[in-house]
Amino acid sequence: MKMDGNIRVATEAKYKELYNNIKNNGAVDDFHELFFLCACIGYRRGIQTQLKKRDDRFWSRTITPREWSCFYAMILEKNAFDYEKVSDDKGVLAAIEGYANAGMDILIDEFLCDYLLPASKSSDPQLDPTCCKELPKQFVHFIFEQSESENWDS
Amino acid sequence: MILLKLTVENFRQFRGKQEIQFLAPSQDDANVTVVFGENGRGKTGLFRAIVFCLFGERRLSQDGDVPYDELQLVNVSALEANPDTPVKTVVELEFSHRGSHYRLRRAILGMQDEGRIIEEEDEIRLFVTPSSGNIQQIPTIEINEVIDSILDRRVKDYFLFDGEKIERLTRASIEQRREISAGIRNLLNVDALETAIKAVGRVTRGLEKELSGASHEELSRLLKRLGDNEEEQARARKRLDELADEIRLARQEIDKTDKELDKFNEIRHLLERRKSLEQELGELEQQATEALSEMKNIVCKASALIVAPTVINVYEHIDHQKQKGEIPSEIRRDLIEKILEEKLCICGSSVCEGSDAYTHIIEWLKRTSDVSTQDAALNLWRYLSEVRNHFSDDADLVEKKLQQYGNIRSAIANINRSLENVSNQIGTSERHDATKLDDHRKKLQDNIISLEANARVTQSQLEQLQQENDRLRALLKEEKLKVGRNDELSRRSILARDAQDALNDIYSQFTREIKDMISESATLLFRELLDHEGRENLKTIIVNEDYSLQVLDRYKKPFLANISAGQRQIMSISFIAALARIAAKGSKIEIPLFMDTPFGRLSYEHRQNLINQVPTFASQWILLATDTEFRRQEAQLLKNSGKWGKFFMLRSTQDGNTEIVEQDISSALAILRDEEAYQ
Repeated sequence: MKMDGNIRVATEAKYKELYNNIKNNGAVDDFHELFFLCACIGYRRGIQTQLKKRDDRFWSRTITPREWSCFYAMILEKNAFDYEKVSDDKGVLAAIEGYANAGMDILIDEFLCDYLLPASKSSDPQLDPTCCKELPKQFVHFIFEQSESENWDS
Repeated sequence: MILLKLTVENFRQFRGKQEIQFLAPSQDDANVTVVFGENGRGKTGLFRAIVFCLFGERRLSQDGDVPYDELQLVNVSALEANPDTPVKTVVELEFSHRGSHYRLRRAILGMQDEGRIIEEEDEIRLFVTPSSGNIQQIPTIEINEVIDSILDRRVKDYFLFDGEKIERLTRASIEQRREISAGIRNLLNVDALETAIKAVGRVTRGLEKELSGASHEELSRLLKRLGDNEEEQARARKRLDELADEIRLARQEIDKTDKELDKFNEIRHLLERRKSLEQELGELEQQATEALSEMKNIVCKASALIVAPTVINVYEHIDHQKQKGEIPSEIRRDLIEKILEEKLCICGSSVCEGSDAYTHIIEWLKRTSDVSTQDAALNLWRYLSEVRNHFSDDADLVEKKLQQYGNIRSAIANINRSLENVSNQIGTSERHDATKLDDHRKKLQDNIISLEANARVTQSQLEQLQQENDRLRALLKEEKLKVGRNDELSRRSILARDAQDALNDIYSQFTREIKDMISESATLLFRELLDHEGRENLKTIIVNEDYSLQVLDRYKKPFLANISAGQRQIMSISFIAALARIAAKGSKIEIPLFMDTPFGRLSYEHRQNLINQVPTFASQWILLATDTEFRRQEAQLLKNSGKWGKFFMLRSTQDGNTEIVEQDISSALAILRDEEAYQ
């Protein structure tokens, strides 16, 4: 739990363009934000998908303490609060990469599929730039839908 | 001057020879002639014919800067009927003045040359028949002088005017002040006095120049300063004139633009609505962009909400461990390990393997973690606490932003619907043209504001220079007396200066008195022409020192800025009538009032007063009116006044020309429509 900043964080190679597209269309400022969102979705659904073809996406130094703490929380909860499991940041991120990978699959299936270039859907998904004007709003709306059942004041 | 007859032949819309016999005031006390026609039928053409005949001018003040060659006078269909033959365009005006009868004839020849229309001056003749009865032809070279002596071309705009533009006299601009001061000067024949002042000024300057070369140092210095001051004043005056010209040109351009915009009048309110909707839409789109940008910033915060149950669960778990003392553990792991290794408790008793104490210590060891893990767990607890504490605010923020964005989009959708609706009512090309014209107009307006500001600064500099000039002149006079009491040149110079000052005093006093008289007379007329409410509020017209017009309210406070366009028009007419009355030394105005569409901006009560009053103070009133301003109601009023004697209709012919048809008053009343017809 040192929040190690010298780790290369990877995503599935086929999502390289999609990560770039989402960042360039103003839905997120940086890759770590999208990675965090995907990890949250994957974890919430309890799905972890191993990366078939790793592609380094960003340095762990860009991950914020807030994101790190959520990653540690996920791993701790998943491993019956075994602190050993979170002592190695590389291991933590490796596990989180699996959740983020699954989260991206879900994101595509349930939301982004309407914004992808049809031809790209079967291989390396890419956003259709002509329909991305409101992407930030669609992202927030999707997130809101995923979390709206919670009662935060309890 | 009384207009008797206007004959036009192949002049603009009037093909062939046609005439209007104006009602001369001698006939049964009636003195009003109405020329009635829809827009484009040639009312202004008649006005133009009179100005052309009297002064040879093609351009009217309302023409702005329309190129000279676009102001064609020859009837185009007459030209087209015989393309190879020149067409003679003639305007003949008969009028009487101080007992003599005048017949003025001015003609041009129009011809086509490779699609262009060329107009050449053909003839000008003036015949005068004095009361003695002997007809006399005035030599061509003297005609302009004779006409100017009857109606000075510089003041023609006061008596032959466009009703809607005349209210400009009341606009407090440098241009307006110049117009009023020129009007007063010209009409009151003070030109001779002005010439004398200029001549004495030249003599004074000459003498002082001579004196400065020959005299004492202080005198020389003062003369130099005075000379510089006068040069600076001349430059300031020139600059003021230039600024006034620039303002005048900009206003002419605005008038021209307004005329073009008039074509879009029917859709003007829609264009304004469209513009305001487009502006609103632009602002909302901007808000939407900002809202989207804010949403991008909350994606990360919002994402954590998805794993909120996990965050809360882990936080509570660590918190529980904390409360149980497991983190940080009550007994440190390294101490337990030391006890187990040395098999010696901190109390001194031995700890044997397999004993109860040993088993307890092993249990402790299992529950404790290393120091770094505990520290990290505590840090995590702090971070998660912070994340957890913000969940509620973050969720509210997300909901608020989505709601806000939804509201903006919904407002945008509403505006787009309205825009589509308005656009359907406006043709697209018209809208584009009108918008361009509107923008052009706005730029001109801004330019006028800046020019007027410049003019005010220059005017104030000029006033300071004038004060400095007075001071220098006093000093100079003292100095001249001191150093050259016996010097002939000095004495002559003092005398010239004194003469110039005396003439200036006479001029100032005369114009001041005249201004007071005009103010008084204009006020009387103004109050007669105003409606009841206006009479209650507006008490006095004054011509200010700087020749601007002002109206005082019942509390004697300046009120001009608050009066309506109609009241301004009434105020201008009162001023013009007062000017003419003073010029005529109190008797009836000896000049015809020739008004083009004067009722457009006036309320019914104002029209009523104008109809009742103008024929009583003007010798002759020629009214050019459209169907929307001269309705049966106005006609009935005019008829009841007993002053209306002639009615001419300008009627469109099949070939697109205009025919002048005289009708009797009863027929006129039958032709004219009621007010309801326009509602």
